[in-house]
Amino acid sequence: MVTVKQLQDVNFSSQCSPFSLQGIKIPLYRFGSNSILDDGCAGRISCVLEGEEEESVLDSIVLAQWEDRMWKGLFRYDVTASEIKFVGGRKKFIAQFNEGWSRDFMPRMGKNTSFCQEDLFKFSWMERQEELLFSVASGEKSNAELVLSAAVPDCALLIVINASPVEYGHVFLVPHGSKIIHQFLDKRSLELVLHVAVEINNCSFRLFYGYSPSAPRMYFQACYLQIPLPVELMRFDTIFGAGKEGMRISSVADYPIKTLVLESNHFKTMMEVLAEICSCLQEKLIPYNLLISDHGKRIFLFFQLQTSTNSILSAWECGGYFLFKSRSEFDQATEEALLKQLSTVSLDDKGFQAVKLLCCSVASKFAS
Amino acid sequence: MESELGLIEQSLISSYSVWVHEALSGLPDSFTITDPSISGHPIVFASKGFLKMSGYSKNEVVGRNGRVFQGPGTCRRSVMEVREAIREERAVQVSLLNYRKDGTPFWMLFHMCPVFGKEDGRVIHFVGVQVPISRRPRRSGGRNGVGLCEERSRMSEIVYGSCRKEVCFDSLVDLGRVLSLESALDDADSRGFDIEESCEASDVEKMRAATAINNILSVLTHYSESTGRLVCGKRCSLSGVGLLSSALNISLGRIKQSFVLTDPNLPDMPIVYASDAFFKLTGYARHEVLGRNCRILSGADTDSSMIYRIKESIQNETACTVRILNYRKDKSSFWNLLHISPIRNASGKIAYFVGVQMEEGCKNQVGHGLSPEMRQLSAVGAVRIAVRSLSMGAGPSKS
Repeated sequence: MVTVKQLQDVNFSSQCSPFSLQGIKIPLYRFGSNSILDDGCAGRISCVLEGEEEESVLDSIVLAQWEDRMWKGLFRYDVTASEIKFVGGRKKFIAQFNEGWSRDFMPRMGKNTSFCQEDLFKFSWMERQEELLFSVASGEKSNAELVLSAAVPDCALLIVINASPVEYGHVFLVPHGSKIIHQFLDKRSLELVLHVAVEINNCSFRLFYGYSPSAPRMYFQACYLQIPLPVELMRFDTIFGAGKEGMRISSVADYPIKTLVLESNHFKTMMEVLAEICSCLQEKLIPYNLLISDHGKRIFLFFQLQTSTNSILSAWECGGYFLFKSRSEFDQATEEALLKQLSTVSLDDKGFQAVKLLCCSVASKFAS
Repeated sequence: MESELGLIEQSLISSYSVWVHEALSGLPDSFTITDPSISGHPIVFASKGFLKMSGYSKNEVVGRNGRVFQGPGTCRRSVMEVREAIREERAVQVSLLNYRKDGTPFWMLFHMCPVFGKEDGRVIHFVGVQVPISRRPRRSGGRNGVGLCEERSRMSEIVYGSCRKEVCFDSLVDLGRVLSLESALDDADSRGFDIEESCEASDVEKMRAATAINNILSVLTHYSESTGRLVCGKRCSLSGVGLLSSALNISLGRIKQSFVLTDPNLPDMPIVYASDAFFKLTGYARHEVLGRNCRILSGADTDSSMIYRIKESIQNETACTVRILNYRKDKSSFWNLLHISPIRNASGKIAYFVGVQMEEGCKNQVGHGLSPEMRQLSAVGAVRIAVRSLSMGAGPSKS
């Protein structure tokens, strides 16, 4: 159950915040403390077939808010009007023809690698308040709670539309809080993001993240994809398994970009292991992308080569979903070309071996 | 109004006559039949063999979705394969780790296939056969060494190597006998064998599943003759106009709000889908609205200028919200805050219009803190996602 109330302005400090949210009031979703995540109960959530799960409140909020902004004309185009198709071949890569899409419209967050936080956000939320959908934070109450209008609390996730959506429901999930180091994915933000993945309870909902030492990002992205991404249908070779309760790590077989999959039914295990793995990778300046699917029970890690050029692929591209700006490119897309595109940016065998070892050693630390 | 229970009971009878239950009960195999046109894609028939294997009673299974048998160790990828097969309305054979009522896991070969209506090509049901698998892991990985797997595999051979042959070639053998052995082996599993280790069925098991499917299909085909609505295991005709794929039916079934989909590409824009909440709100039954125009909701005092506004927005392919007086089947009226929006498919073209109804002043909508307007918009969003990948074709294979 979720209760609603109007909240008065809570004490809100924006001193250390990289961007001001002073005076801004948006809906706030607070997770319940006795949620499905506690003491491994997540393991009991049965695995569901598409469309057979109950619609969750969090899911409804995202959809309603996104649809509301579509109705208000905040998007640069109607993404559902852009054609999608399978690219012929065995991998079932997905191609979208979208003239309006551009990488440049990604918010310029974290472009400046210095620790001068004022520069991190190139725009003010005041001017683009309409793009803010709502915020998500943890709560003390036993049940989840929706507050229709509230200031954004410290240590929250801002859910913001991407005006150039890649798919329906495309949002940014931006960690917000005084203690967040914006260049790095911290454990608290990761916990919130994973919690969203679980609580939204919709297997079409996918979350993405990309880390590159040259352009660290401090935000996740998410959208709804009804069909599975090609990488999700690949065969796995398990390289690490810590029994029934623990974590399983597998490498994706026969896929052009080096990919690992973390699988666990236990939220805490998943969160701890993933946070540690991400932090190790960042320490060693190894670029990676994350794809969170299946209610947060399956997380894909894609490994790209570190290059000086900024040809870093996004997580959905790594997963097999490609956008084409021109009709002819879209029509002429071949599996061969896409395989090549992925394999040229992929980490090499030697590097992958090292990454595998690293991930397994992290997981084994938590296995006991 | 047709109750959900009535729908489930009628599901087999309306397609295959009242005699089909008896005929299906005579089959020894473990199988279930599901109906994708009912919200939640529930099981409408479970065989004795299935109930025995799963430990559930009939009442605990019928009306529920097949997911209740899955658990933490069930391979996500295999589930995805099944989901894809449902979406593409084709047969699939995968190894699945399922759970009995008492929580013990067991491996089975799941063979599912759609049953098509001969005339319109619509998927009437899905038949799913479950064949228990003797443990023979596909590959050994992680900590569970090869030795253990092989030992385990050898053990199965010894315990009921010959018995298994009986099962394969004599379909009348008492399944229970094998099953008790099966669970004895599962106990061995919990002693130092990771049950979640992936497991592949043998050719014999695969054959057994295929044979069972054929037997069930021939029963269904035979009994469909008596209702005049013939079914077959292979799609005989292209999906008829105005028919929704079962995958779309399943996706739409999870949306709880009252809404209809109308097809603007058909003459007079008929309703091609209506949600359970719509039947509840209006008092109509499914067969009374499918194929008909939304004007059945209009009546004497319905403002024609509102109808004009709706027509206008449909013509302009835009969304609109109107407050319109509508009538139920019993002629009682209600103010409907109707939201209409075009819905596009994979080609980016308008496939349907969605109309989400909201009864003004209706208190008993469980909102969980969401305003009725938000719930209305979230339904539109959910419909967009469900239809977005519809009729997604493959590009030319040039690689």
